[in-house]
Amino acid sequence: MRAVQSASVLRFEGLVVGHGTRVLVGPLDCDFEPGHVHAIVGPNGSGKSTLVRTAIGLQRPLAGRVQLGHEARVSYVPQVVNLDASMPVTALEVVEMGRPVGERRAERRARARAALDGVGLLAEGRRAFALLSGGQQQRVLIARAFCADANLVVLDEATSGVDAEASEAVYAALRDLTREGRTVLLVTHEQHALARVADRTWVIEGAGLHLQRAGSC
Amino acid sequence: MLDEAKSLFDMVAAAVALVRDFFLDGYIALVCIAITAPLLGALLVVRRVPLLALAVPQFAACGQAAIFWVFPVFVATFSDGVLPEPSAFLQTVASIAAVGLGMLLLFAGSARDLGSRAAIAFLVAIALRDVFFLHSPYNEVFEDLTQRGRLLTVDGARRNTVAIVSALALSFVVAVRRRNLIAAFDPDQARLLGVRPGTQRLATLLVFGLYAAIVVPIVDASVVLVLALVPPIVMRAATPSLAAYLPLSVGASVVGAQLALLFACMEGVDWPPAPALTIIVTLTSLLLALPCWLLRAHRWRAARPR
Repeated sequence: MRAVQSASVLRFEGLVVGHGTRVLVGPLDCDFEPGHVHAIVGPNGSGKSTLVRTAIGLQRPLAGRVQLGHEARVSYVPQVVNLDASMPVTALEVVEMGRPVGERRAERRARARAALDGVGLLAEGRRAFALLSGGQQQRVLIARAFCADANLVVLDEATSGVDAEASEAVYAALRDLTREGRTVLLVTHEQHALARVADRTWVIEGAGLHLQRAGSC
Repeated sequence: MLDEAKSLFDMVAAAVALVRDFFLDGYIALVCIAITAPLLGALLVVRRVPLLALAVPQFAACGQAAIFWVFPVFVATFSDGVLPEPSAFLQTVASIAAVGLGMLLLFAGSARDLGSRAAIAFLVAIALRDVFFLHSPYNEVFEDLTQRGRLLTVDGARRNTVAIVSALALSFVVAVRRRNLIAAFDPDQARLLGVRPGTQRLATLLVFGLYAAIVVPIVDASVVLVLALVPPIVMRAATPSLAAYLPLSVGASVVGAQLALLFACMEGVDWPPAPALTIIVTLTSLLLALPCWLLRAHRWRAARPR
């Protein structure tokens, strides 16, 4: 992965993703414009999560390369099942994990409290993460991503398990991010999310990625 | 009732005086280990490798036993009917070599089976230690180690060694604590922050290995094992937050260790130090954890939808 100087925040060049020798998607050549919500949709097992994980450097590509925009800072909302929810950690401490490692504690905490307030969970900040409901845990992770000052925010099925009201708050927050010039990459299978928030919809069909819908909501 | 309380107070005062007058070096070494071992142990517990924390001190004890077996064969000779012991330096070198070899063997296979291999290695190291000591002419040292531990025989030089190693270990924990905790909870988030979870875990294991290799020949493996594992494991299930986890683990360890030494020095009780440490640190950890569990249960019930 290397930085690009162009207007594109994220670019795939001959990118092939998969596990071991099994190709899921690719080769792909495409650009993701900044300041938009890009939704990636596709059937279960089509490689959506693998694609975004490869895009942000959490997994090695099988071939080709990913180019991130100049000075790109990435935040990622994973699916809750991938976390060690039995850790002795509060909601506020999870959000603090979005901030740089060397940051002063007071500043880190203030930013985390603001982000937690943004998803309506400030009152739950001192509760153990493991004792929150699935939807609340997902919102805490979204707060962590928002708190990171990232210009590329990646959400992997982030609103699954989140109630309608909270999902609306998340979508509104995503729109606010794009108004600030940040880019959102959203993996989802929820049609509602697509209709409410996506500017660009990319569909995985076979091994290809096709831009199905472009234009602001 | 008042007489009984006074009698108990007198016994405790006598035990404190005994520690102050005769075992102060051992006490200081114990407090140093009680502060640092649970911090290192907590990092291994949250990274889900507690069995390595069990095996590594036992490797060190095995190395120490090996030098007691090898030393009279190749180096030492009886002088005036006395066979000199291997020096502290030689014991430490043997201990470091055994920890290094043991860790190399552990990491040779798949990471998935690391815990199982560590459990087997723990058992093999205990067995080898027994065999080495039984075939050496230092049976009384072995009996002293297994029955009493070495806490009461720590001298000034060894106390200083423990203090220095503990200070270095503490600095390491302060430096890597946050990185390790993030990597334990969410390795992907750690990578996005530029932290390499595997490297952090390996560095923590190496530091713990070196720490155990130097400290175990001085105080025995059981001291390091108990203080590194029991408080962090008990507190992990009890505390709701990272902010409380490490301080409570250290608190349980320090309070339990001091009570254990008092029990060992109390007239009429006179428990062997190493077993006393195991029992009392476990009880202290459970007692400190109890209010945390009750508070958690209360909060959980209060938050449950009706």
